[in-house]
Order: sequence, then structure tokens, then C-alpha cells
Amino acid sequence: MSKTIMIVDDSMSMREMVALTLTDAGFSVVKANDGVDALSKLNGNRVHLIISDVNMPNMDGMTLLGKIKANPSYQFTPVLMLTTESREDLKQKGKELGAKAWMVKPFKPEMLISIVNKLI
Amino acid sequence: MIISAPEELNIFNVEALYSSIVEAEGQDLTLDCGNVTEVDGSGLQLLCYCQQQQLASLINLSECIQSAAPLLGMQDLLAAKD
Amino acid sequence: MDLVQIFVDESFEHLQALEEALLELEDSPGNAELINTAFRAMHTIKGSAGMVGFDHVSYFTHHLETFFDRVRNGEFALTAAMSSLILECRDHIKSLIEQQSPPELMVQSEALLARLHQLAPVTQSAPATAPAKSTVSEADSLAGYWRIEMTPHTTTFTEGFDVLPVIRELQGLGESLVSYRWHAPDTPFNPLSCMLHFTLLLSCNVPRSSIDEAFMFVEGDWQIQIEKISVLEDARLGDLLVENGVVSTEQMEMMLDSKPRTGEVLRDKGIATDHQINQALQQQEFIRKQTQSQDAPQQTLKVPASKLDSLMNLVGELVIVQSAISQHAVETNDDKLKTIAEELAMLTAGVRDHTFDIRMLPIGSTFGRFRRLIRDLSVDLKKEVRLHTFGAETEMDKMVLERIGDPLVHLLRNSLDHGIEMPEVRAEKGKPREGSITLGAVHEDGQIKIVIKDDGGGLNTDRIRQKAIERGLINEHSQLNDDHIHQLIFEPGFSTAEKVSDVSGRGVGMDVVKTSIESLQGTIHISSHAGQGTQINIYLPLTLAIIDGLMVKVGDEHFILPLSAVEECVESPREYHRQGPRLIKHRGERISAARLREAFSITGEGPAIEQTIVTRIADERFGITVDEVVGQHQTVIKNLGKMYRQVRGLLGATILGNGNVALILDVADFYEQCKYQLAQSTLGANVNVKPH
Repeated sequence: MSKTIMIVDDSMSMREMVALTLTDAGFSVVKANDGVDALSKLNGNRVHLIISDVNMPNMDGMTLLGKIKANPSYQFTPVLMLTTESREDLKQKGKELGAKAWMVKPFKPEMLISIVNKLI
Repeated sequence: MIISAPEELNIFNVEALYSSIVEAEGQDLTLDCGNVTEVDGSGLQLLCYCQQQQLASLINLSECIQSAAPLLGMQDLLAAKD
Repeated sequence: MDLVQIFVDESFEHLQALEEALLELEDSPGNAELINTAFRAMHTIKGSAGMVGFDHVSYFTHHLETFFDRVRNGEFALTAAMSSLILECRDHIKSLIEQQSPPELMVQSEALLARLHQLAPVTQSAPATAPAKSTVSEADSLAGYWRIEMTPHTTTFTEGFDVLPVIRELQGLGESLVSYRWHAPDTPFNPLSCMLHFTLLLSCNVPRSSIDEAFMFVEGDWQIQIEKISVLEDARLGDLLVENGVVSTEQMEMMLDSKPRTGEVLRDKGIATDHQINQALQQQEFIRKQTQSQDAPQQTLKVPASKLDSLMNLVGELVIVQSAISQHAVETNDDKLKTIAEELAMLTAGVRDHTFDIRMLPIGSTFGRFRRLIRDLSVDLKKEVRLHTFGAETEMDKMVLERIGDPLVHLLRNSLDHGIEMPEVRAEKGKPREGSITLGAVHEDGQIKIVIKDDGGGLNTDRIRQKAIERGLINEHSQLNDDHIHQLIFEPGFSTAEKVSDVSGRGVGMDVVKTSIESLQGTIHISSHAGQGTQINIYLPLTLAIIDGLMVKVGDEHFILPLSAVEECVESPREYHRQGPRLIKHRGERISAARLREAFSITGEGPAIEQTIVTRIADERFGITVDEVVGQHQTVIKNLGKMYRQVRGLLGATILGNGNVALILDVADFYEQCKYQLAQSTLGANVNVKPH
């Protein structure tokens, strides 16, 4: 059974890029445009990993991260932040909120897969 | 008494499963793992514990358990009877 | 092959191993692994000698075995004097085996043993100190495995991490064995906490960086300990149980006092569970396997060399027949036959490659011999020299390897005798007292490059030049650069040693070395910097019997040039009727070139457009002009008949698919000829290059 990964990013091209990389590697993918969209699509469905951007309209990645970790259904779900932000304080905050890994865009497909494989 | 392990034997469910096992303590307990389609480290840890403490006898170890257990060196789980 | 022969061969290998171990021990005294190697060598010879009736050998090696066992147990340390004596004993064992232990040698055995007993301290009832746990640094040893201990943080699972991906990645790196235990068995079970500790044994050929990478996200949160363990001998179950934290060292020692099998005892006493013992047993099995795979190269099937040679000949014939069929298929334009011919060509290539591969041996097998040579010679010459080696694993054809030994000995002797200065002289020059000689081999451009380098005084360019003039090798007015002058030492009868020494003889040598290398289709080049040292590079083909060649045509004659020497082919109109070697322009560089037609006195005129094959010999380019380039051709070298033995510039001949004979050109030798002619012609003379 393939594992399901949610991608949250407001940039369609980035979303599709990540999705393509992951489906090629045999994962199932759920796509969301922003934090609000992500929460509505989660809605109790099982995902094994959430990959989220940080800067997004409606609900940003950090807020989403906080909400995911507060939800009993997803409190143990690993979250990978994939962003252009490389500020240390943001990374630190992400880590405190429970983000498992921080990856800076642009990314190499094989790098992403290697990280995902370390997480799930 | 037979308890069926959930499909997803992982961190989301191990606590609940462990509670039901503990509640049934004293009875002759069998843990049916035939439905398990997904297992993680915490799930395997629980199975190991149950087996070693003789809390329950494990049956019907599903394919995913059979392939994951050796990864953690838990081959002895597989010795459980089907 | 009979048993005795097997014993003899095997014993020589063990003696070799003993010698290498002893010499290496000089560099790393006390290295437990090396001592163990020496012990094993003696142990094995003792055992098999007894079986094949070499009782005296068995008797003699028994004493050496005991000796190494005591060193191994830390009763005393191996001194230089002991090493020397053991080396003597090693030679003695060899003689005993070769000469089947005549009485006079048996007398000698007793003398040697008496000396050995004198050197080795008297046995004490028990070693005063417990034997130190043998650890060998990572660099010292390739044999071994990684032992990775990891305690995931208790919150691992609840933090959305799983242990499975990390361990799965580690196991994916190489052969591995994972076992687990409860980290703190007394803590109440909590299904949400990670309560496990994992031990992963991983094959040692995995780089450390890959292991670290697997822990990328958990570093800092998990307790991780990565250790490289050298496999010295069989892992003891007891030790593994102690390392796994199942039993304490004290419990273990208590157990060991009461002889029976460790596992059973511990289980019976309730100290270890079946599960714990099984895991340790599995680890033991894994470690054994690792040890065996390290030993694997020695566990080989032995085949008499003659069988290999005849296989090689058959493969050679097969290649010829195959190319005949290919040629026939092309000529008849039969599609079905072409397909079959192609398939046959592929299979033949496969058979050929595998046959070659069987004949390939690592050059390192000869290094030991050189180590001994350097050691003995430096003592004789009162010089301090260390031999560094690299590329021991570089493989080359068995025949090449056998025939390169003597030239290398000669070159090493030369480096030691003429190159490396006396310690005092070195000190005055501000160099370390101890000189260094490097011997190594690498694969480079489909050839093998053997390097012999010293940090001695370097060649004396002026003296060589002067001598060369005295000997009439060069003309007083010859404009030769330093590098060209240095190569003159390879000319016949050349010696610059101020006095003849026992070691490098009378200056016969360098030319002999060069001839031997050339007979192996190799080239040799020396480069030197005054005061800094000398480096000799020898280039050798990977194999001798079959070469990939470029077939060319002059008139009706076919020639084959070894493809390894060919750089490119250029086309040019036959400019003028100048005879003899000439200089041509090639890519802005002036290179000398010669016409094969002239060199081999082939009658008739060449075509209006000539082809010149630019070849490279060592670092120089040289053009060979022919009528026509036919194409690539794989060929088996047949020795030329006696008639042609004296013809320089030829390696041999081959039979073509259509039954004709093609001559295989020895490009390096041919160039030598032409270079000489060219030098003469630029001085005024104009002579035809002719084989003499």
C-alpha cells in the first residue's frame, strides 16, 4: 500500500513539481493551496507526511503546523517544511512547533525523496 | 478472547490497543494481526512486548508485519504461530 | 596436483604472509592483527605439515606457533632481534620444505630454536596483566564491521518519527544485522514511548558518511554510537553478551571459570534469556561471515598455471577463427551469417575477458618480497629507508607480473644504492634521516603504470651527459634537454656509479631493465630533480597475448599497431620524396615521423594521399606514415619465427582471417630506431631506417 503525502503550497508550479517527484517515487499525493485548504482536505483522512510551504495566503505554514500538531488525529504526523526561508529563527520556531525537517527551495528531486524516505 | 489489531498498527492506535490488552489481563488472550496493513516502530514494539510478557499470543501476522519485523531485528515475532 | 604440492604451495603463501606481517609489525609494533596473522601462518603450516608427513616441519613450526601465541597473549613484546630471528626461521622453514628436511638442516633447526628460547622470556605461570582488549585503528585495518548502537529518544514516536525508516536506510547500505533490546527493562511499559535500543552490525565497506547521513534528522535526539570493530578472531559469545549489556563483565568472568558452554550456562542460571542469547549467536554468525568474506581472496581454487596457459592459447585460436567468420560474413554479405558472427563475436569477447580476468593477479602479492629486499639492503648499506607502497590491489596479467619482478628489484636496488643518501648526508641537506622509496601501481588509460619514486639525490645530469659523450652515445654538440639526457641511463653499458657496489652491480642493469620492460610491450621513463629525488614510471599493457590493434596497409603488406599507442590518424598529401624520418607539423607541434614503406623496404610507391598515425610513447608523439588505414582489429600475437627474432621494431605477427600474415609493430622500439636515425640525419647524415 502506497503511503500518502500532503503537499501544501500556494505556488501551483511548486505543488506540481513536488507532486510529480513524489508520485514518481510511488507515493500517493494530496494537494492543498494553503493552510485553510490543507485542514479542510485533511479532515480525518490518513496522511503519512505533510510537506508545507511557509509563506502562504489565508493561513501560513507556521500556523498550519501549530494546528496540525494540536489535532489528535495528526499530532504524530511528521511535517516537512519546504520553503525559500532559511532564517535560523524561523527554523527554530518550526522545530519547536514540531516540524521534523526543514528543506530550502529550490530542491533536487532525489534529495526530497531521500529525506522523505528518512521520515516515513 | 481474541482482540483484532487495527489496520493501522501505529502510534495513533497503539495506546488504545494496549489499553484493551491490559483490560483483558488474566484472560487467555489472542491478538489477531491479520488485518494489519500498516505498522510502525511503535506497533512492532507493542507486539514484541506482548509476546515477551506473554500478555497475548499473536496470530495471523500480516504480510506487512512479516516484512517490517526483521528490519528491527524482531524475527522472533514471526515465530508466532499462524 | 598431489597433496604434497598443495602443501608446499600453501606453505609458501603462509611463509609469505608471515614475512609480511613481521615487516609490517616494524611499522606498527604490537598490532594484534598482524601478530595473529603470524600465529595463524605457523599454526596452519604445523597442522598441514603433520598431515603430509613433513614431521620435522611440523615440529619446528610448533615452537614458532607457541612463540607467537605467547606474544599474542601479551606475555612479552616482539623485539627487533626476535623479528630478525623469526625471519631467519622463516627462510629455514622454506629450506626444510624444499629440501625435505635433510639431517644437516635438522641440526640447524635446533640451533635456531635454542636462540629463539633464549630471546623469549621464561614462561610465567600466568600473565601479570590481563590481555589488553585488541583494538586496531580504522586506518590499520580493512577487515571488520561497524557496530552502531542507537537509543532513540523516548518521544521519537510521538514526535512523528519512526525508527523504521532510519534502520531501513542503514540496512540498505550493506550487509547488516540488527538486534534490539529494551533500553531500560525496569521502566513500566508505555506504548507511546520508544523503549527500545537497537544494535546494528554493518559491513565495513560502507563509508562512515553514509551512516551519518541516515541519522540526519535524529542526531542530537537519539543516542548514537558508531564504532568500527576490527575482526581479529572469532567473536566470542560471552564478549557479545557483555557488549549487548545482557551480562556484566563480572558475571562473565565468573562463568568463564566454570568451563561449560557459555550460552547454556547463562540461560540455565537465568542471567540471559533465549532471545538474548539467540541475538548474540546471530551476531556471532554475522561477524564470522564478515571475517570469512575478508579472507575470501585466499580461499581460492588452485589450478596449475599450465592449464591456464592452454586455456589462453585456445582463446587465442578462438579469437582468430571468430574474426575469420566475421570477415567471411561481411564479404559474402550473408545476413544470417552476419547475425551469427556478431553473436559469436560477443561471446568470444566474453570468454576472452573472463579468461584474462582469471589470469589477473594483484601486484600487491609481490610487494612483500620488495619490502624484505629494501629492509635487508638498507641494513647492508647502513642507510635508513622506508618503503611505501600503494595500489597493492591493482591487477595485472600473471605473466606480466612474473616478468616484471626482476626489473623492479633492479630499479629498487638502484634507488636505494644510488638514490637515497647516507643518513648523515641527508641530515646535512635538511632532509629527514630516513629516506623514502615509494612503489605503487595504478591503472591509467587502459595501461598499468608502475611508479618507483625516491626522495634521494636525483640524477646528476652533467655527469650523465659527460659519460654519454665519452661512450659515444651522444655527440658533444647534441642539443638535448635534461629529460632526454636522463633517459640515456637506459642505454646499453651505461653506469655513473662512482664505484661499483655489491648491490647494484656493474651498471649492467638499466639497459637490461629497459629491454625487459620493452619485451613486455611496456615503456619506461625516468624523471629526476637534483637534490629532490627520482621517479621512474613504467607503463605496461594489461595483457600480453591479445591486443586491440589498428590494422594498416603498406603496399600489399598488413601491419598492426597496438591501439593503446595510437592517438589519431591524419591524412596528408605525400609532399616530397624525402627519404628517412622527417619532422611533420601536428597540431602546432613538430613531431618526427617515419614511413613504414621505407623502414621495411617495401617496394613500390605510396599513394598520393598518405595516412599518418600519430602515436604516443610515454610522453612523446611520433608519426607512422602508411598507405591506408584498414580499421580496428583484435589480434592474437604469435611469436615470430627465429628468422625475425632479430628484427627490431616488431612485436610479433598474427594470422588474419583470410589466412594472410600481418606484422605487429612494436611502436616504442620502432620509434627508438627512428629517433636515432633522425638525430643522425639532423647532424647531416641521412640513413634509411632499416631493421638490423
